[in-house]
Formats: sequence, structure tokens, C-alpha cells
Amino acid sequence: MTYLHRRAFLQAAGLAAASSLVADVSSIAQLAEATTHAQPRLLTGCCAYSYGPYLEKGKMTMEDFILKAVELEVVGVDMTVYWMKSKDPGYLHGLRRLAQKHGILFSGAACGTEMCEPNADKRAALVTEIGQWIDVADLLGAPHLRVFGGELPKGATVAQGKDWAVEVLKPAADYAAKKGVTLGLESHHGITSMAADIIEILHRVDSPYVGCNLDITHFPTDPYAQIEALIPYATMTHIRDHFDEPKPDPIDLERVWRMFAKGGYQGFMAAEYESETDPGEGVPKLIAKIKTLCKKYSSV
Amino acid sequence: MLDSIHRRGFLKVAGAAAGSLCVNLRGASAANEGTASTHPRFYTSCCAYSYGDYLKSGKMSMEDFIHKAVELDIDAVDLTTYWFKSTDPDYLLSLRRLAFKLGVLFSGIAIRNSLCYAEAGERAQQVEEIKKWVDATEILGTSQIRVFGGKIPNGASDAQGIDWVVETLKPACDYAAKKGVILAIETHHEITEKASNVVEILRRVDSPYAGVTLDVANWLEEPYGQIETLVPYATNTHIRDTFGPPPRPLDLDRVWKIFAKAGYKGFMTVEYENKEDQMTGVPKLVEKVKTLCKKYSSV
Repeated sequence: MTYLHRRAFLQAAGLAAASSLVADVSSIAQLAEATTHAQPRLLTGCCAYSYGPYLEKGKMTMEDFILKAVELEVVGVDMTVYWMKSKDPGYLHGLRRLAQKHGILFSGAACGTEMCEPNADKRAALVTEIGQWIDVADLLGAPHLRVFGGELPKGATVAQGKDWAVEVLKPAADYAAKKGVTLGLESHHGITSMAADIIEILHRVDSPYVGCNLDITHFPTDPYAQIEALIPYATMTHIRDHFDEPKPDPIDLERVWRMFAKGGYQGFMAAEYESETDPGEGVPKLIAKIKTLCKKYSSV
Repeated sequence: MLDSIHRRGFLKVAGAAAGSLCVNLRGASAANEGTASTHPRFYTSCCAYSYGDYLKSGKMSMEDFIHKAVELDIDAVDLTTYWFKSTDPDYLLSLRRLAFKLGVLFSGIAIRNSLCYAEAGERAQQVEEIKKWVDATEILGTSQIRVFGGKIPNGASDAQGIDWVVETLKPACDYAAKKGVILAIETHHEITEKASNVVEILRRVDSPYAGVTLDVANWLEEPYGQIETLVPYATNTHIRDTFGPPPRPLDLDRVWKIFAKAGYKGFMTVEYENKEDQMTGVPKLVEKVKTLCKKYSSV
């Protein structure tokens, strides 16, 4: 069994199945990964992206955002890199120290790199670019980096797009592994519209340092089934209370949390607010929902 | 201009009133640090040391201990390094990966050392040793190391001891700063027996990367006053339900009230050392810590 097959299979199969699989499992630690999943650990988080309009206009800095999380009373913040002043170690260590001082954890960082690129030279450049953001995550002491699959170029097939993404993600994962940073492929339109395509990419990359940054809002069909299919692979989660596809219907968040709890998810549930309403007003409301649900379904 | 340690301690003590200090501060974020003291944030953690008997006999590995955090339903673990297999990057990365996978945070690591050597060569050697652990901490992706002050050599005064500690800790912090790692001196008798010694050391080292692992238990007398003095400097804690020697009961609710009032934001880390078998004793202490964190934390 490959790494990902084993992980997903064990998580899906649950306790009873896992104990009968001992012979197939190469180490105790991996078996335990499966057996401990009965305890969902759902940690509250917030993406800097939620305050995008403020960060964009300079009304808020990344430092302000970290302090905002104290006010919001969430455990972690996800550092969307778009509004970082630089990749300078002094700047990044300043953010890390500030967060540490305020008891704020970094759930991860998020970059905008899209991997669906037909040109081989450009793909090589994307690997380098992701590497630079891995270095940023490393300097922050953040364990995770969100990456995008990307839109399919005109005339290309989904199969080609997945090939290109795998070709970028594989060497990027090798580099990430050396730094202890996990790459999370976000479910976000293009070649990552459908859970099955994401799962195929993850299986082909087959690295313990690659998972899915599960954004629950971007599925064109059967969102709940697609979310459920991706939970065993999820290394990070983005939460909003309405879908953006196929139309902006409200999301049954309780149903979503039940699925994460059942899947034994252990990680952050991070608000990624995006709405017409001012984030100053809207984010705390979304966070309040997330906090209530985490309290209800988390073991910690 | 206040130096960084003065400012930090002063602001935390001053609390909400700090808003009026803006003009004295370097930046807006420093001012916010003062007002943010209204939101205490307590996370539950446990030192590997709590299971020392099991780790020592090999009945438990560091990996098992990380899994234990899931069973205990706590946020984080603190990795006492005595039972690390090695400092090989692959081993450290595998621990980091396991913890990430399980949603278990690292509050920090803890090493065995002394900062208080009279001889310059020994101090230099300690700095080198600490650097090695700073590198390991960086690979683990965590942000602090518990260090010991150490025993004052026979015949030396507190003042001399403090000089030696400062001379060791300063260059070690300069190195740690480059890696984003805090060196947190533990209140652990000896040179750190008096809170005032610890405060003096921190003021003289004057680095944002020098902190305190506030062990609430290691006091011969007057624990509450000493704890209160040091909470503004604390970057991690060790929690037990007795203080001493000799062991006397510690009023943990009172301790949490002190931390909450000062707006402490960090880990409340169980370091179990009672006589009862660790397998049954640790969960009982963890339960107390969880209850108090729930009662006093804003998160």
C-alpha cells in the first residue's frame, strides 16, 4: 500500500477495521494514527484573507491581524502571504515572536501559486516559487502551506492538468519534507473542482507532506459528498457559511462538523470570510459559529 | 526609552492603563500588547517528563507520548529531550509530522544544562550545547527551549552567579534570535530560587528571545508572591499541585487567578512528579489543569 492509500483507507475504515489490518501496517505509529482518530480535535482558526479588504488598503497590518485573533479568541491564524511586507527573516521572525507572545498559533501560511502549467520551464519556476513560500512557512514556524491547483488552460484536458500539477507538486513536496512543512492542495475551482481529481493528484504525488486544504465552499455538485470524500486527506480547512458554487446557498455547518468529527479530523477549522458585508462585522459572526461547533464536536 | 524587558513587564502589570503610554512606545503593536492583557489565553500541555519512568524504561517512546496527548485531550506536548533517540533531522521531522497529523501542538522542548559556570571555557561550551538544541528546535517547528539556570558554585555569591548566567545566556539568545527560538530559564531552585534573581537576569540579557519557564512548584516559601512577580515574563509554565520541598499543597485556583489577572497567553504545562504511578497520576493532574484553563481562558 502506498502512504496515502494506507492513511485514507485506515481513516475511512475506522477502529474495528484498523485492528485487523495490523499485518498490512508497516509500523505501530501508523496503526496508532488510525486508532486515535476516534478523537476529533477541531481547533479554531482564522485566515488573514478574511480581512483582505483591510489588509489590501493598509488599514490593517499582519501584526494587527495577529492581535485581532486575541480579540476574536481563536487558537490559530493562517498567514495568507499576499500582504506580507517581505520574505525577510527579520520580518517573519518578528511576526513569529509576536504570535508566540500572544499565545497565537500559526495554523499555516497560504500562497497563491497555481500549478496547472503546460510549459515545463514555467513549471520548474513554480517549484522554485513554492520553495520560497515553504521557506517563509519555515521561518514562521508554521507547519502548513496552502497551494492552488489552478485553472485549466484553454484546450487542455483535465487529465493533462493533473499531470502538470503532479509534476510541480512532487518536487515541491520533496523540498517541503526537508523542512517539515505540509503542502495543502486547496479544493478551489479549476482542476481541483472535484474531490476525485484532488484525490488522484494526492495519490500520484504520494507524500506524507502533501494533503488537501479542504475549502468546503467551492464544489460545483454534491458538496457534502465531496467534502466527506476529502476529509481523510484534509490537512487544513477553510470555512464559510455559504457556498460559492453552484449558487450562494447557505451551508449546513452542523452537518459539515458532524462529518469532520466522524472522520476523526485533527486540525484547524479556519474562517475564510468572503462577503459583501464588511469583515469587521462579518468575521466575528462567522467565528462565533465556528467556535460553537468546535466546542460541540472537538475532544480538546 | 524603556528597554524591551522593562517595557514588557511594565505593560503587562499596568494592563489596560497601558493605553495611555503610547507616546513612550516604539510602535502601535507594543501598545496593543498592553490592551490585549484583558484576554488570558491558556492552552493545556504536558511535559514528556511527566511520563519519565515509562520513557526511561523504554515502555513509552516519544511517538507514544505524542499519541498520549490525543488520549488526554490536551492541546500540546512539551518534549523533554532526555529521551530523544537522536537529534538527527529525520527523527525530529518524523516527530513534527506525527504531531501535525494528530493536531497536537508543541509548546516547546526542555534540555538539561547549567548557565552558571565560573569558568569561561565551560560557559562557552554551554553556549555551543544550547546552539545545538536551538537547531533541533527549529527543525521541530517549535519556538522555545526550557533551560536551567543552574547551581551557584560553592563559595560564590548570587551576584557572581547572575553575572555568569548573563554571560552565557546573552550569546545563546543572540543565536536563538536568528532562528526565532526563545530560551526560557526555568524557576528551579539554585540561582533561580528567588524571583528577583530571574528578573535581574532577564533585564540584563535584555533580549525578546529570553523568557521564563515559570515552574509554579519550585519554591521553598511564598510561592504565590514569586509567581505573581514572574508571570509578566513567563513564556511557558510547569504545573504541579504541590510546591516545595518539602511538598506542600499548592492552591491551583489561586495560581490561575494570578495568571489570568496578568493576561498570560501561553501553555499551562503539566509536569507531574507525584508518587502515584504516572499512568494513573498524570491524567488526574491534567483534569485539574483542563478545568482551570476552561474556567479562566478566553479561548
